[in-house]
Amino acid sequence: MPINVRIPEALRKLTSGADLVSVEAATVGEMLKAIDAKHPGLKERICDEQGNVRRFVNIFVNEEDIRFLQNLDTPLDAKSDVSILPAIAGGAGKPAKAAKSEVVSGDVVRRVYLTFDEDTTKRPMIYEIVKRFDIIPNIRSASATEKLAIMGIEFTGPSESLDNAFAWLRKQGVRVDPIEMNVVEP
Amino acid sequence: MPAEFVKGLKCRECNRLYEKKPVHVCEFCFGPLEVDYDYEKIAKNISREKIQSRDRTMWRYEEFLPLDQKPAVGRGTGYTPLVRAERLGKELGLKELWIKNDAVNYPTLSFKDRVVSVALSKAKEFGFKTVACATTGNLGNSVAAQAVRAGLECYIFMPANLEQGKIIGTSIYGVHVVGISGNYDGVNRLCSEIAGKFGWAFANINMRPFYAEGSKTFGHEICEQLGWKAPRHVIVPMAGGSLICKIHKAVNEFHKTGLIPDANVKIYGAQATGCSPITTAVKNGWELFKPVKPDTIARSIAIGNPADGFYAIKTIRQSGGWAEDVTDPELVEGIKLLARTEGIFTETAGGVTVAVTKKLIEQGRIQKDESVVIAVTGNGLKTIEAVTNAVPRPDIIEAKLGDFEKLVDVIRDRSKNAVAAAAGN
Repeated sequence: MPINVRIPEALRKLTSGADLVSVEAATVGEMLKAIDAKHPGLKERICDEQGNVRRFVNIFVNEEDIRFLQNLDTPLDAKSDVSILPAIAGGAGKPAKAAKSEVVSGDVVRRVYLTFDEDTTKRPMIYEIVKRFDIIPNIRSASATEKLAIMGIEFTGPSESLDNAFAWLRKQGVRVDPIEMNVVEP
Repeated sequence: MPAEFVKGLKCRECNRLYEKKPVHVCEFCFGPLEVDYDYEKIAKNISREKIQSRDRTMWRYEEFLPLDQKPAVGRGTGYTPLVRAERLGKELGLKELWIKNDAVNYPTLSFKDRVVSVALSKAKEFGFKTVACATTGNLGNSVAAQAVRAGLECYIFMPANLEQGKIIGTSIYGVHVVGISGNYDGVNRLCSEIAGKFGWAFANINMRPFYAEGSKTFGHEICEQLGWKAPRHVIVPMAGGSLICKIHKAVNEFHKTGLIPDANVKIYGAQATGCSPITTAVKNGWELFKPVKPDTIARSIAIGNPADGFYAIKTIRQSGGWAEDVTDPELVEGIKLLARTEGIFTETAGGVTVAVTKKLIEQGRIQKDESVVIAVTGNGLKTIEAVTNAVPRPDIIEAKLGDFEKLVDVIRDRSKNAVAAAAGN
């Protein structure tokens, strides 16, 4: 039975822009092999060398995170609703129904480094801006020490929402820099 | 052809490989990309004699640079003097002190000519017609000057409130200079957005992996000019933190390819106290630096959130070096010290480096009988306002021989007193 799999914005480059891919599969593991056969390179973005789903990727079957089901062995049938989503930090496994999980045309992608100090690291900032501004964060890198934390994040959403989210973060004392950090050289 | 030695680009964080293209960021982890060389192949094709047979420019090290052909611009750049500083050495108590003098680099009197030469030559190889950069000084001078020779259209972005003097050094070349009003962060953001949108070759953005390679030649030259060996100590000013890392890379490359016997060099970073995110991190033993708001006259190294800060910290630690910073008055004294002992007039960054060297010696961190190189990266005429009030006014006399004879006595007494005062200290 054909399964429809929703593809996140960040991976649509590999599916020629398609946000839905249809494959035959009886389990999540088979589904990943099948979508990779159709669009080479997809599996590598979703799973690591050991074949496990990467930390910052979530796969939902009927709105349940497969990590709470049978992971790659989770069975699929004709009625299964399958979504691959970048992780939303702060979520507890169930995607909030009201939260943005689909990208709309007109959305832009911005890559930034967020720098947190001793005070701002204590708050769940990513979670807060997702709830307030309805944008999708895709965390690509993170470093944290006692005094400081830096995260490299790709945000997707309407341009105005991103502007507002970044302005809000700055007001809270979080530095928001383009990933080049500083392009104005002496 | 130099092309055969470049394997492609590599992410400095996750080691992912990329093709040789104008991209600067890893798609996966956002780490910076670096040019990846086949050092084994270079080792088989390089020798001291081969290098020595070439013109005295940075391009004598072409196997270590990422171009496919001979450079379109900047052929006369580099191979600046490595000056033995006996008088300054004596004052600081050093047996073997050298100054690597990019204050006289060609064509725009700063080490930026090296990186720009590579960036613009590579931009031409990629087929770009327009080059750009965002700058507060030396970078703009160099990009503008070299862009016109390369026949490339050129846009230079600057903060709108930049001093006239700095703007002239770039506008004179007739390129498009755009001032952006608002705070520094806003200028920074806009420039990254422009870079993303317009498909131009931004020297230090999409061309960054190639651009950065030019800095290595500063280190290559030091090794060759010392007689094919690594210096034991090098003190380097840090703005974005790229140069210091590339100097270390250069020494390691020469060792890897058999050109020098060892790569034992201690690298020291220098910043102005008013903008010292990297030195603060090193001195406190941190792995990450805290971005700061710059407040120093050393504008040429005033970057509050250095893109290569993390790597600079690593380089300094791994080499067994250290980092220090000096106040604005101290850096002015550094400029004056170098000028009056060695006849070299450097800009504020150079003053910082000289003053930091002095500080590190006083802290006992630099062995006084080993080779020490101070990196001078730009010419003093570029930051003349920093020393305007620090140099004495001339003595004025009337056009009478008698008056001059009296003045000579005064001058000689003054010198005697100064020597006595210094000896008494």
